Amino acid sequence: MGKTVELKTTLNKGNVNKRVFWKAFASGMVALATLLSFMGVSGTAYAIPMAGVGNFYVEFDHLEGNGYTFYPKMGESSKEKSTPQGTNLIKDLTIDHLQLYKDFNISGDKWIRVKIVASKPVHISGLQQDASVINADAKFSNLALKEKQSSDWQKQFQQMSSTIELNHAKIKTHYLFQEKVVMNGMKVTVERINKPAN
Amino acid sequence: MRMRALKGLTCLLVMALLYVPNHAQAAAGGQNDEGFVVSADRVEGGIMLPQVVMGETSSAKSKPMIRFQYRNATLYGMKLTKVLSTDEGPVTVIMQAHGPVHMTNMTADASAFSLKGACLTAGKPIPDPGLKKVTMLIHKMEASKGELDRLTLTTVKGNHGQQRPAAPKVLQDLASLPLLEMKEAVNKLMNGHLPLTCEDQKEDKEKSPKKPASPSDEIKKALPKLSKDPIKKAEKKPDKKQEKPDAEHIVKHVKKPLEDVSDPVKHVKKPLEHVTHPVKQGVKKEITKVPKVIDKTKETAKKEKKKVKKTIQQTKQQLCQKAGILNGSVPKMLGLNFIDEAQKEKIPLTGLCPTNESATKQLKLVQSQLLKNLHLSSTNKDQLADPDLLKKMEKEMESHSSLKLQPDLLKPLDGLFSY
Repeated sequence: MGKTVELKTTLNKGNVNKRVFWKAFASGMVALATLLSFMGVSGTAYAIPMAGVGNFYVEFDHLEGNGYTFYPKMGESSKEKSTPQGTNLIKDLTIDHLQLYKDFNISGDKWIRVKIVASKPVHISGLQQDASVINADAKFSNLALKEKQSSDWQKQFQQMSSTIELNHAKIKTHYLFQEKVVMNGMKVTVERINKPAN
Repeated sequence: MRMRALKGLTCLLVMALLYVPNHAQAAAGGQNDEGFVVSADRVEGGIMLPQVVMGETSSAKSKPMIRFQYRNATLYGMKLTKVLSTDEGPVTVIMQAHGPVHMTNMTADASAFSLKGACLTAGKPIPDPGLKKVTMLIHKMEASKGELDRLTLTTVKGNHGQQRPAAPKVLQDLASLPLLEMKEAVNKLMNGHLPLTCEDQKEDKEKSPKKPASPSDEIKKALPKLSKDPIKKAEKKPDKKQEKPDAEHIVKHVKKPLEDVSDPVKHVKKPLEHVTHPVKQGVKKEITKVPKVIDKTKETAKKEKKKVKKTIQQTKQQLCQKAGILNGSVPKMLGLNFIDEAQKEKIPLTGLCPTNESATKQLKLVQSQLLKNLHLSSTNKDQLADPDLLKKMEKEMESHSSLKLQPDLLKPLDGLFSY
């Protein structure tokens, strides 16, 4: 049960606006610290929200879950108070090679990436993920896409399936909530990166 | 006190005026947002079964739709868009697969669509239709399995919906009916296996010797009758025209005896068609050009009704005699004559020779064989005299030089054959 925090602070002095950097870095670390404090020693945490840090990316090799529902909503992003998103609900799921990361612009063209990686399968119950973009190879069983007569626009269109399988996924996420998460082999890193494409 | 009441009333009126247009606008917006548009460059798969069903939309509980059913389907270049009206303006959900999409046991209920590669007939399966440039306005889509390679699911601001296809004429006509009559008409479409698309294929129809009715003609034929009195239609009351034949009607009856005179069985049908067409249009020149047969027709048309009926009876007897001695096959012309007679009398083939047992048995075989070839073996007993069905039988008969009859067809199949 090793939780390693590696901070690769190999930035050249004089090229970085320290005030901006520490501000951005601190906000990212607050989010991480929140998550880590929930995790505790066992690697299991309950009622974990990840919000208020703007959009971040979730990537993984393989996800298998059951009880999937998708519906559109308006939610907060790092740039706007209200932006279109899709809510993805999955009752129970297992993720292989999970990575969560958030990129911070510390000054000019200087960027850092705060990343959480799980080397072992992650088990989650009661997942809610609000995302604006999902890229993946997807498989569903008992898939249904349908519209419903309702005055509430969020209930007018839904996608549901009894099982969901996603491979090679990259998800632009704005909000993440898990009722219960078991995340063994977790590692947190901070690294300098070139300006991200997305 | 009065002034206060008046002011209050004015305020209420102003509020009502402000509220009503917004409400109407929202309702109108809702109509436009109905359904989600799914497009695909091409769809490949096994058997596709189109059906007419009633389905739910975001603004209506029950609306006529075409259900497309596939056991297995692969969609290439699939894109789904759903536009939603929110308080902050339109939002679009876009689901696009950059790889192939495999669906198992897929059903899609569409209220509008455009496609190339197949003509659809209600309840008639099409083996591997190979549809291209498909766009459907879908309200429900289900699959027992769905595999979407390189899927991108995005939710964005603004209206980025795809162009919505137009509803086919059949669904437009159905939608204009009250709910109960709509359901009756849907049943009629399904039971009669009526065409749903290919209204614009006039060229093909012109090429064919017998022009089949277009889908809208078919539904129009079914709908006004249903809307007036569907029950009466079911009872099949005899047409008044039949009781009191006018000049045109007499000409129709004349067809048969004349042909019988010239050649009792083989050359009956073709000359008749040539005769009726010019007479209907009143083109006298045509008549003078056409030799003996038309002259005979004109003469016979002048004869008294009784004589005509007598001749018809004689023809019918001859037909029944010929039916009685059929042995495992029926020649094309004879088969067409049976159907023609049934069409005129508006009775099933099996009712042509009620007093001739052996003829009835053979006619039953002919009827069963034709129904089997048309994949309409489950046709209800009451619908065997349906003009549309007899027309289909006629078309099927025309495609054979001699129709082989399989005696085992009379054995009951799943309890459906009980004439």
